Amino acid sequence: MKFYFFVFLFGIFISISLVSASFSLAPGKLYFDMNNNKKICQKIVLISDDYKGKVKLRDVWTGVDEDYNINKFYMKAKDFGLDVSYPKTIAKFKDRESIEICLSGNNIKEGKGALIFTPESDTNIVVEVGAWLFVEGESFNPPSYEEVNGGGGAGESNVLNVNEENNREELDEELSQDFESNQKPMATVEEGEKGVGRITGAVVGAGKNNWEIIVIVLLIVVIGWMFVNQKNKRD
Amino acid sequence: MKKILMLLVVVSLLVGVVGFVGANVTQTASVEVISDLSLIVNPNPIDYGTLKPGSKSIKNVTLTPGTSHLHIAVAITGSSLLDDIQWDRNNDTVYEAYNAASFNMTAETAETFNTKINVPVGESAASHSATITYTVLEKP
Repeated sequence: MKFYFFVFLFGIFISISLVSASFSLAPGKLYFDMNNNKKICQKIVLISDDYKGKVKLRDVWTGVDEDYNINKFYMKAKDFGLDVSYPKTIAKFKDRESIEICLSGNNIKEGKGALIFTPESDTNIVVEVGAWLFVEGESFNPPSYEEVNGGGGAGESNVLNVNEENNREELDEELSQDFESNQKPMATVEEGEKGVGRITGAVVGAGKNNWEIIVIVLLIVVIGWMFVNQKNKRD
Repeated sequence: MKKILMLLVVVSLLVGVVGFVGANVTQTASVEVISDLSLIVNPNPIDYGTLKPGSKSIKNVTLTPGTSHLHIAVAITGSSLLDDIQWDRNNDTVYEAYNAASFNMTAETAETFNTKINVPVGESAASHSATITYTVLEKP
């Protein structure tokens, strides 16, 4: 009996000592072609099986050539000529919530950002989730985080920077492919459909060649004609 | 009259068969793929214990991602002492700053590494606490 009680307590201890954040986003990346300076809105869905409560939202931005380290996303949407609108808080999140993010503005410059969803946490460890935002617009090379913050920023990891540099070409290639492949879905989103982040397909069955159909129809016609003829003769 | 009726039967049979044979039966299938941004952080809290000035403490941290490849950014806020937590991701005792670190993780592949805190000589006696925020995004 004591053994089972100990196992029970140990289980509780283990589950308390873990921080679990099971959030999902659909999609994880949003692409906005703002070359025509129009307003584009897209939907993003936050899903969680085990979190209920308040979720705060914020957006962070940087130049397209900068690292993907959001700690260095020091710019604001207005620096890119962007007017970004989305709900700043989801007061009572439960199961899933769809929010709409709209981008508009004039003389919009290219950039990348992230929309971050921050849940409340009872502990000193917070796990927040985010979706990438990629904006196509006028070419723009803002000063880097290092230039603005006077060289290597606090807490920078040289090893990571080297790794990120090594991955840069690969990442850029992936992103440009992603952007091209998402151009069409983005247009469908603008028209009010959910396209990005979905895979749809169609299975077509019972497709026959036309000549087969024609032969069958002719056979039926001939049989019918013969049947009618026979009847006529009897009458 | 019989002829007309017979003709009607034949024609309706014809139309039915043509409709049956000629119809393209289309079945649609769809699936929504979502990013699994789940991340389990163990342990919580990280307790470095009671330390004297000039000493250090090393604790293991394990990050377990879900079924998507992740990009993670770490931010530490609070005590300046804990802002300087270091980590050796490659377990090679080459420690780097954990605060502002950014890295990719492979789906369903947990990573365990050391984190270290150094208490400078002459540090005043006090309790310290900080919040570690993990921002999880899909791998770009």
